[in-house]
Amino acid sequence: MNVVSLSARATAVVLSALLWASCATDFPGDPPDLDNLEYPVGMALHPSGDTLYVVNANFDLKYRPQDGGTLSVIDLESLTVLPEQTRTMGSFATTVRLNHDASRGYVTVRGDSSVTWFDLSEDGRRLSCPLAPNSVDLGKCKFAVPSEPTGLAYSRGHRTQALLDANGRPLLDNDGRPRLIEQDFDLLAIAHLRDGLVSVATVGDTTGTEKPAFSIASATLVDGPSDIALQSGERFFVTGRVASSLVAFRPAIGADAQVLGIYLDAILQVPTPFSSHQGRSLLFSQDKDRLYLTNQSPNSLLVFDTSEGDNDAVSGTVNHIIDMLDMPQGPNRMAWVSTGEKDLLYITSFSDDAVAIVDPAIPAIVGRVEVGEGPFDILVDQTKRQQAYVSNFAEHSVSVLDLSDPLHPVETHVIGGLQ
Amino acid sequence: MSWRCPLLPLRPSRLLAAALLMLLCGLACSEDPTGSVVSLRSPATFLYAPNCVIDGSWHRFSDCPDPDRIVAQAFVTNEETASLSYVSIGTAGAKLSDTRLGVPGLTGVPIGERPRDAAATSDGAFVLTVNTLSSDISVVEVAKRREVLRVPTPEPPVKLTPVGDAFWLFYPSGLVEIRALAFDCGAGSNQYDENLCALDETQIAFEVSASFLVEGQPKAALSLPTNERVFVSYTDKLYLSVLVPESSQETCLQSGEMPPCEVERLPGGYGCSDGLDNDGDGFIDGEDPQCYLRGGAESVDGVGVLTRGACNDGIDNDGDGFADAFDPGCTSTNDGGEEDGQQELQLPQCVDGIDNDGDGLVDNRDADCLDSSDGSEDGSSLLPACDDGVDNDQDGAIDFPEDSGCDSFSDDTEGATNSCGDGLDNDGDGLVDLEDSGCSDLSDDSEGAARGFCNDGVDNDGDGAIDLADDGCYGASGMTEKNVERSGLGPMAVDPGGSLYVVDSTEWQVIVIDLATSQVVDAGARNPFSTGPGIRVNAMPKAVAADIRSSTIVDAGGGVTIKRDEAVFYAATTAGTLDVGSVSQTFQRFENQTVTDTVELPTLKVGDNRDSVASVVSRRCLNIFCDESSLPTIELRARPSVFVTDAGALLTTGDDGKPTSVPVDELYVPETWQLIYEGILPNAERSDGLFDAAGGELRFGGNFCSLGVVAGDHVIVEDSPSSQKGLDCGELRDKTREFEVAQVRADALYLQPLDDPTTSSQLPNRSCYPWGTRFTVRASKQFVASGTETGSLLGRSSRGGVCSDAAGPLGGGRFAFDEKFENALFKTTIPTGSLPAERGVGIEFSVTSGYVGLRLQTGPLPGDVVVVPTLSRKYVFVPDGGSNQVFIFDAANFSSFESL
Repeated sequence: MNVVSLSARATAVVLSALLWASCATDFPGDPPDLDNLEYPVGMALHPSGDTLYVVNANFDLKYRPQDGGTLSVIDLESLTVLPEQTRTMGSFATTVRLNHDASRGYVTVRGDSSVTWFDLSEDGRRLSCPLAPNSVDLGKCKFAVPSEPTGLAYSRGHRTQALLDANGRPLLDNDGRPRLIEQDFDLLAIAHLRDGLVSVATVGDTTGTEKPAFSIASATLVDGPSDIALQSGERFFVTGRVASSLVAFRPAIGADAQVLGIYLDAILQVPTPFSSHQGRSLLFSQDKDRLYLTNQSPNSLLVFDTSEGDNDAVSGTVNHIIDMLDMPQGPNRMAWVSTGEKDLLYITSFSDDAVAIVDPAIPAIVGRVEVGEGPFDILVDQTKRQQAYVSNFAEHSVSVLDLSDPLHPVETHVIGGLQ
Repeated sequence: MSWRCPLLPLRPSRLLAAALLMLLCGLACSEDPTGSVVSLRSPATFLYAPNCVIDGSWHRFSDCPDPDRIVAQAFVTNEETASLSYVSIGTAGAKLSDTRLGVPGLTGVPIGERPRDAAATSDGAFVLTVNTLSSDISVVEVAKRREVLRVPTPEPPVKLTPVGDAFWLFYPSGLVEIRALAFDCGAGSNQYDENLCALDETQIAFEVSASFLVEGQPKAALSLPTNERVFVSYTDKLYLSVLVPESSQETCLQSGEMPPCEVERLPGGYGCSDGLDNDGDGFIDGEDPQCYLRGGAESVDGVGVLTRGACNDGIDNDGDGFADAFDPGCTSTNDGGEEDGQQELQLPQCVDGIDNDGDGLVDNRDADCLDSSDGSEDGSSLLPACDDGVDNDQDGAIDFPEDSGCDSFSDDTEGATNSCGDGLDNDGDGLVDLEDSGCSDLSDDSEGAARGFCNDGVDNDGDGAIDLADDGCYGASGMTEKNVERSGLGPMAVDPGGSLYVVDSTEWQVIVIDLATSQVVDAGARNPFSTGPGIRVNAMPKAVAADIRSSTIVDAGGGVTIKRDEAVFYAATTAGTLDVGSVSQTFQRFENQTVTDTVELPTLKVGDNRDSVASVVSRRCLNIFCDESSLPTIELRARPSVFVTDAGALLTTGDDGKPTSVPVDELYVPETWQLIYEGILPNAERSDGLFDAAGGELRFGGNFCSLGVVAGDHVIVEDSPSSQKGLDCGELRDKTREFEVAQVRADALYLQPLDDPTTSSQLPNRSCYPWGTRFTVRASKQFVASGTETGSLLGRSSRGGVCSDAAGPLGGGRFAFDEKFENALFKTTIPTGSLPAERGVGIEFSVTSGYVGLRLQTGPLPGDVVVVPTLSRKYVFVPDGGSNQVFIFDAANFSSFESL
């Protein structure tokens, strides 16, 4: 072995150790800007309709990687970002989902391969990591997951576990009834961009500073998983960016609410002359009988029949593609907008800087509204404000659309914008 | 004509761009710009209009006298660029035309947004486009290459169909408008002269002359060339409407209406799922007592299987070499015999339209009827828990009255009423309460799989209708109340021979309707793997065109020729193929222009691209040495075919005078078959067996009916019993653990000891097998057939936990020595003595397909397919939005031209 080389290696090790020590408490690079939106991607809307949560991806690594991503809180009354409520997290976050009662939220963070979680105050204005309630950073509140989580679907789970004696017989109460433990939990389905992995995790309910119980299991289901949608209960569908099919799956969850594994339920082939399609996002119809998939190769909207029937081969669950609609460039995420008479699909067109409005019953594009550059996610509030919100990735903004006339929405405000 | 400058939202990022663009707009808006519309962008519709261009000038087709100078003209709508492209069709392909002189490369006329459909006036002077995004109609003056009129519509239109001089406009709401184009540019009313006309918006109109409503949501429409009938398909119906114009004398379906109106509905699928009362008994689909499945028929003469009979059983019943739909003697799927003519079909009690047991309930209304093959209305097919011979709650007592939890034989709960909340494994499947998928919640009364949804008095799907009142229920034994919301049908085409072709994107098929009989041609009957009555095409068909391909296939000299007319369709699919379907072939022999012989051959499949046939390529013995002479002959199913001799004779039989066997279709795939004596049933070698506490009841995580288990089969328990002290498992440990199946239910096998002292007389139970066991199911004294691709032929359907007795459409999958074995794929007989009657001995053979579907490569998002007959050749055009091309093929030989 070369002596000089050995010496150099020793020096390098020492320097690395010193550098690591310094980095452990002081990240290199700039902290993220809490006042503005930058490369906004996924969004979530508080049920009150007053607060919008926007994930900022630190896509260009302008800020330090470890905590350069942010979760902005927007007051929808004043249409302003609330910087004091903005929280930091890892880079390349994508999707944010709130749980059933909006007491907690989850963000998939590709930069540190985590699902970062946070608690929300009842009014949705205060966002914190209960394990470090005074910290701006959510870094203490994250679950390690397999590499590059991106899509995220949420469901609420419940299990009942019978208490057993040493012989495995149910313990009975004074009335002779079995003694049962009821467990409610958040059920997360996660798409990972790498390795074809899909994960399902359970997260227990907690109060205060208690760390929630967490269990996870993963399986390889589809190439380049990108988005996941919940059909009902515990049945999910996943699409991928280089996939040849759409896959339905469900987790096996024990009576103790631990995830035991993932069962593949169905494979829905996506016909294409190419080796794969490029699935971006999934959305079910209200009755769950149709599943819509945005595809960027070619730019299209795919419609799947997911209705249930009896076990007759002719009439049973069709579970395959039934229509395909040519779309403007870069179709991405979707949301339903009701006209009162019918439901319309609003679909962001990333490369068209617009939202396409599809009447799925025809199906055809029956409307279009221009928004900012690189529209990514879209959320709709037809309960309180008759508005839709579109995150404009390339323009660092959120467009506010007035839905008074759902066929002809109007962009009324732009939150944020180019720096 | 006005042109709008693009409006830009006032955001910082666009202020500069907006200023620059406004400046440009200010310049551009001063005159009518054509924009930068070049090339094709999301081409959707291809329209061939009867006009031509001679030396660069437009002419009516009738004014194009010199064929050598004609360049036919067609059009393409571009969804993304909101434009109409012009296409010049020559003798060796086609090319995009410049739409503005002096602007090379400009190939599109700006029109409304997201144009999809298009139609032309009869003289080809105007092209009209349907624009879904801007919700209007563009009228393009072809000769001047400009949009001359934009007409707003009440809602986004979906289809525009020329009917005579009028246009019928279809809307999602069901509104049908009849409009006509009216103009006068100096040559007289509606007389177009490209030299005289200088139309502006005030000189041309596209007004509504009549309107009416149809019940569905129109998807596509097609007018017959005679303009006497218009066919409409719907996104939400499985039938087609036939509409007639005002001039018709026909009677409208809706009383009190006068034409234009709907006069007829054509079926678009199987009789039990087409939304029509096919047999006129007042009941539609699942309401009809003869309908048990959506793939069924409402009557003997309907489309679909009414009950298993000689023409749908996979067997050559009359021994003429042909089976079922391939047998010329079968006039339909429900013909009672393969002999010539319609034979009476023997109807089991449960499909005979009679209340046989006098309980006031007929056929599928009677809960005692399991399916259309059930021969008795008297006898429950759904066994309640208190009458099923099973200790469902594992309390040691079985059924009523022994089990105190049973109130009667009809009680469906033996034990506690909240068995999903008692912490017990009530159904013995190893899963407790909510772990068990049979439990919906803690208040669920049964851990077992839900059953009898159409006979439980509960509104299971929450739609307000209960059991048979729910149109989702196909009979009282139906397993769901939920109505499958199937999508409707799509684009259509008609061939000159009188067949209508309809795209079914849901089932990936093209349905053929014989317009002479108004009936679906049941192509699915020729393929037991089929789930629909149409011709299966690649996934997912989006458009269809039809044609008759005529060719002289033999010129024998001396004035003897043979001509073949083939009815074909072209289905454009999102799998990137243009599937060429062959529907029928008519061979005609001519002697000096006189027809001397005619043979018609239905083909009903996607065409073959290889000209080879399926065959058996190897045979060998399994688990024993044998010579080839002891191997039985494997005969593949025959197909009728037509031969033409060099001398110009038309033959329908081979040299031996027997029907010719030419199995060339997708029924045969390359695979290997095994016929094994006392073989293991396919998928019945398992590790998930679980016994009940009392013993003898075997369950697993699947359906025994699907495995094809029948009473008499043998179950071999592979594992030794538990060695735990105190357990009485002696015989199970010391003797062979092989048992006979006494009874089969979907979820359980009931075993009994064999009459063999070497085998255990003790039945296995939960105590001896606390963790379950591996087990296999074997046939007894029979061969079991299975293919590597086809799989098992044994599977049976089940309802309410009871297995159907009917074999599937493939035919059976088991047979004994000397018994003729036949199914929809092949037939054979294994004589006694040719092989030893030993378990595991058998034969294996391989089959080649020979079939390669005639599928031409296109793109992923076809919007249309059009056959264009020019003077020099016939083209097929396929615009594809996914690749921004129009693919072009020669219809004569399917060679491709350079795409647009």
